[in-house]
Amino acid sequence: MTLFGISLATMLLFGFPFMVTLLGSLILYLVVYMPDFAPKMIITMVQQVITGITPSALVCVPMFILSASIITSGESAGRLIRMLKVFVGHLPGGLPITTNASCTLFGAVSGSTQATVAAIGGTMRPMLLEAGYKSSFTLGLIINSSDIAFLIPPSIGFIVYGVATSTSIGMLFLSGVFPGLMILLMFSIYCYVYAKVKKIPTLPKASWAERISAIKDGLPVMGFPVIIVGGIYAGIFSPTEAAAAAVLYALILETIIYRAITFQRIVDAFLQTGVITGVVFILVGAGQAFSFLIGFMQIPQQLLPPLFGTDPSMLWVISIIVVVYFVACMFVDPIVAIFILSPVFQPYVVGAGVDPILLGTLVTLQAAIGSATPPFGCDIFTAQLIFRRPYLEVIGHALPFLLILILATIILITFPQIALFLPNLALGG
Amino acid sequence: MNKKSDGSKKLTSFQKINKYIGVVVNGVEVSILVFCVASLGILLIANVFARTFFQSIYFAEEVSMFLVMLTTFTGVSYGVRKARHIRMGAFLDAMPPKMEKTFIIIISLISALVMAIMTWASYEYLANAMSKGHMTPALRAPKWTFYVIIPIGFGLACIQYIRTIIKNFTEKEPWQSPDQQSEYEDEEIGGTQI
Repeated sequence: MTLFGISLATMLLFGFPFMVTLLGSLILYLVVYMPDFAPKMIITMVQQVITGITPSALVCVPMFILSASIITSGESAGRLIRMLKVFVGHLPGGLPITTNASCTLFGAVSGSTQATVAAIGGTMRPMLLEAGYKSSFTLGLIINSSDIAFLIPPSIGFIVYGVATSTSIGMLFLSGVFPGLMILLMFSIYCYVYAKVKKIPTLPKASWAERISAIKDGLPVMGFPVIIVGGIYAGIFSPTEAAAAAVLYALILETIIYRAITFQRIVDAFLQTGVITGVVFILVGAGQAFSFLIGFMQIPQQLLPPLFGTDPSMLWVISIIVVVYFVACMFVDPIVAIFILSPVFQPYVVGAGVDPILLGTLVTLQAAIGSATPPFGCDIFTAQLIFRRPYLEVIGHALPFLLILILATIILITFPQIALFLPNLALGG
Repeated sequence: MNKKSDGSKKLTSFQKINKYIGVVVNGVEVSILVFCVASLGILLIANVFARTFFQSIYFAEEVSMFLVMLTTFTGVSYGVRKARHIRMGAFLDAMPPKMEKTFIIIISLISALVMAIMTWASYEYLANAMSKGHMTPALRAPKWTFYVIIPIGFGLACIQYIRTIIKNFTEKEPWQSPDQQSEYEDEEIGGTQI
């Protein structure tokens, strides 16, 4: 147990690929503690990796990555930003609010925070800097706004949670919509106040002619939420079908309507999707092998009872799970954390009668918050990678956003209906 | 983007072979990834239409699973070659180059070992599946065909880690992977980084 923990932590901190960290620690444990069974168990690991990557619900992941890839290399992001800017740009904090709203809407196309940081952040950051916002504020803003994208369907977090706990992915998608919008509102209020206090000059108001032309340009992008949220809400599409429809729509939008991307860029989007799929799916597979084997070694049974006590209340279970995910996602990729931890907590969740959909929303929110939290949140490194700014500058303005997100978590636990009423409505309940 | 130190020098025959193999491996991996994602897209879109107007394509789920497996394990090897695997690089990036290089060599060595063990285990798994001769439910194809790619993917990943070690011994700068100096630069093929 101790050796297992040490090898895991060491490999994690010294920058081993997560894939090797997970598989390597397991192999080490097996070889040291049960040398007689090790070869058989390692072959079982291969079987678990296969089990991990083959649930049919996961097939929608590459499709959502693909539609985001196509959209990112085209013009949609820019048009979306312009459409929102002509309406809110003249308010105090107009540009940061545009950034928030663009990230939220872009989240309706893309399932990951990284894609959103790249697509929206790349365009918005120069504009924000020019308008007089501090560099670390713009970086904190972009990273944390992109978190909203993780709650807006499609979200890889929801898909992985749904697969790991056998919860309906469609219902999870619907449960993320209003919490996402709530955080958008909270961030926007903060940006408004920030710009007022710092006395950042406002932009001129756009004319109605400009507004109408921007809507004409940007409106087709709104087709994505219609297809994905609308399609699933109305029961027309399963998540996989919604993903396929989103790919088709992205192709039509960027090639026929906007004429923005060439054949070469489409092939490139295919390649990038393939690579990201490979890198993500091997983690899901390794995560499955990991959670199978820690279950086999009875590690959760040793660690969890003291944490939960006997007969824990619903609020206690939720609080512990929320804190554990938040901390875990500060260190490892959210996909790995969700895939490994969810099955471990599942018995307590069922026992205490926590709504699995509410928990899915909370877990995905924590995954988003954790991955934007210093020192090790992975979004910080994505932003460093994209904007090539020093680490301290990237994390310089993280605290206000972090506090807002923690407040959002507390509100969500207190008023679970914010997450649950849309799925309940869809079920007709 | 990629600084090729052997560009101006005359290549030895060993380097020529190594370069040639690199080009072939890259071509095959890129083709498989593009082909799989494109086919998966076409299959799933076709299935939406088929389900709406007629009935679902009976083999859609099985073929998509096959394509996902093929993509994943090709991506494993490609990801090592291009330094794309997800990791927590905060400390590694902050190290002085010499120390970083030492760590990359140690990490690559252990990673190569882990990949080698996984290659062996997945080969055993494949051999076992072949001897059982199960068929897939929809297409009645031998089940082991799904698993052929696994030892290949892990095996190639192992080779790429070994190549990373060699690269770090032959070059002055630290290299994260054999074909990509660090994850902070654009890839040779394509521009959009996600």
